[in-house]
Amino acid sequence: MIELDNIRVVHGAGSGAREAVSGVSLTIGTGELFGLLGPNGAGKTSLVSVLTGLRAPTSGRVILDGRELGRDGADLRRRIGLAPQETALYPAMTGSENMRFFGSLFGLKGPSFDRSAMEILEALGLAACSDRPAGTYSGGMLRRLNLAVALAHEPDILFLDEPTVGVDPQSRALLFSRIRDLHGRGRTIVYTSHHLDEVEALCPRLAIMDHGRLIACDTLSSLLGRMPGTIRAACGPVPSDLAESLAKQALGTWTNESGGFRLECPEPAARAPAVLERLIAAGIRPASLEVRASDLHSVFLSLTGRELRDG
Amino acid sequence: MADWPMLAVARKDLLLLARDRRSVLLLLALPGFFIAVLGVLLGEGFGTKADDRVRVSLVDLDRGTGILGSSFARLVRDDLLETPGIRVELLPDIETARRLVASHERAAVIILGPEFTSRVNACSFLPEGINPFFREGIHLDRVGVEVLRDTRQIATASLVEQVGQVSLLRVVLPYMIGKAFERLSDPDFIEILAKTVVLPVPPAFRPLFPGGKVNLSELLRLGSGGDARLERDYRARAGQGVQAAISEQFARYDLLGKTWAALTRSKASGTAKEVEYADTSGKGWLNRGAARYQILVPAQSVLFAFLIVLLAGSILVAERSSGTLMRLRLSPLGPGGLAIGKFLPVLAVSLIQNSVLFAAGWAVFGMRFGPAAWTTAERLLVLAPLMAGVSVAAAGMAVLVAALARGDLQVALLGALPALVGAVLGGCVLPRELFPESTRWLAYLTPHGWALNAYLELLDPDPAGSPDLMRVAASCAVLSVSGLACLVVAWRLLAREWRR
Repeated sequence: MIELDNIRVVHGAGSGAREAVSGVSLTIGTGELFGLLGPNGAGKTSLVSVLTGLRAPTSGRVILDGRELGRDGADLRRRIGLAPQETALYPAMTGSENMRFFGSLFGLKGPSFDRSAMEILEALGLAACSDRPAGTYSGGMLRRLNLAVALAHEPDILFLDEPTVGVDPQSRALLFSRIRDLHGRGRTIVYTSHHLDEVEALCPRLAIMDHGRLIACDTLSSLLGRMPGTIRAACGPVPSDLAESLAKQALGTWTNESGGFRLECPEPAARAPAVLERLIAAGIRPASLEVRASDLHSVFLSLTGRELRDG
Repeated sequence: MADWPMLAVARKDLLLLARDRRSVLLLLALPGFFIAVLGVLLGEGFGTKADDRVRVSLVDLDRGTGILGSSFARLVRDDLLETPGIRVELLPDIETARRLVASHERAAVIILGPEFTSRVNACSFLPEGINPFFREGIHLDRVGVEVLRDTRQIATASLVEQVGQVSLLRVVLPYMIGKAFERLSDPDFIEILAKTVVLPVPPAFRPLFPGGKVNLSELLRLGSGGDARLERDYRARAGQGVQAAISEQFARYDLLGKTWAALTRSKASGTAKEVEYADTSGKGWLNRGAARYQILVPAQSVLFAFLIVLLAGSILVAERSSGTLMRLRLSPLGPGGLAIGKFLPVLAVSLIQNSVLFAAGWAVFGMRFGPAAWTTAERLLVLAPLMAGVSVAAAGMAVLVAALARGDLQVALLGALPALVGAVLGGCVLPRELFPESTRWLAYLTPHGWALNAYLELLDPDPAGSPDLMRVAASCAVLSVSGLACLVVAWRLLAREWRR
């Protein structure tokens, strides 16, 4: 289990000081696939640096399985793998050589390590090009090799910082499949991204950061549950007493639109049949009925008051 | 030991460097190229102690015997040696003299020909003797002397010739005076004297000399009473008397001495030595074997050893910018491991670079290591620790710069500037002899200065010299300690970065 206790990170000093992380406290369970979502500059990478022990927090503590992650936690570091935002590799060395070198830093070598390194490369679709210099790899292959290197010493906690930047859809699918596989094998994974769809697709629990602050941390379903969905119909005018009654029944908000209406309510899929039934009973037959559940985009919008965009 | 992460880092850096063929080529070939260019362009005196005295080069072909048991050429050479403000260089043969003048390496060469002694012997004030004098001094051709002149260096050639003329005068003139003075007791001279000295006869003796006049010859004959042996004796005494009288008159000079020192009763110091000509200009278009390579090879090897700072700096900057440093920091490597891991490959590269340069210095440029009496093993035994010391100093400085620099510009400023300033102060760019005495001590503030001091001690252009090994050992110690100190500081800096 990873516990963050009131983490604060300040870059620079004096008048130029900038608070990158402001009092973040959260817990990541063992074996969890945890998402860290936020726009660029939200403080995610700074927080990952603290979580991996790459930098000491300005204040606060990181506790890993009951032990504080300090300066000399070499044994704790062995348990951590990081696929940083940059493809931190040696382009003049082949994929295998990169694996072997980073493995050797952890004292791993010999035929058994070579086999396990090759298995990792194979799982990430890189076995065929493992003897080619990394400098000749495509962006997607480099990202996969970046992940492979992070896995070389078989860490049980894996930090993936924006792992899909510049990756083609095929590589992304392969990465997702491998991440799910690793999660299935009990690895703790912290997945950092500013892509809502990625975090939504992968992470059962997540934290949302903005301007260095933790603005939400919950399971995906809980976060989505906080936001209403939408039932939108194309139909003739709905009498106001019926609209009022439907809104009350669905615990939602009724809005008349040109050529129809919009009803915002929790769990719209569950409530849509009853709404349709009552409309038909009232002699109103909608030409179409669109049901849209809440998503992270709307959650983020409601929490931060702005869209999540790059930069 | 093979499991040490620092060795993995060192191996990795060496592998990366080996794959960067252009860098390898530049690291190894560039210093050699510089040495070759400078070796071709620089003059023979490069790096040697400046000697402002006029050089008088001469060839002594004289095989005769003159006075004092030696040839007159020897006397001329001795006289030149005693002349202040000049240095005398003895060339082995006339071909060398012609080559040096033709190649403008000597402004003039004086050739003392094989007939010199016999010609000087023949010089005399007597009508039958050779008169070598004219208004300017000595007719060189009359005494078998020749001066080869470089027409491009007329002024220097004239100066050399004038110096030669003065020495020739100091040899030929006293000899001729001495010889002439000896003639004062010669019977022929006495005969001339006796016939020339005519005196009036007193009245009482006029019956004996009816002409009223008598010459010295008649008086001596009269005094000897007709005894021919006695008469010869009287004549000799007359000669000796004349000699004694003149000697007394000119008591400050030994007119019989025949040498300048004897004539003028002056004493030569006898301490000056002439220099045997040694061809230090080398052979072929590379001037292979030229003395300048004894300076150029170590100077360039020291200069480039410290320019490796840029290599280590740029490697660590690349690690920072690519994010691999982050990965290294996440490993059990630690700051000390990283510092040593970066130190070792630079050390290895520097050692390889130095070895290649010195091997090339020996094989291509014909430089010598140590005194001629040393065996190869002895040379390597002394050279190896010095190379190691230089490499440790360079690698230490390199890791320090790498730990300090955060970008390529900082590497360039922090690395190249001290490396170049050190090279200039240390004497790698310009010979230290060109610096004012008051600033030469600055070399000791740089590792370059210590390194070059030790190399020059070992690679003295004089093959007969014996190096001061204590001085070499002291330099090795200073270099090693400075390199290790830099490594420790780099370690501390990286540790601070680790903790941040």
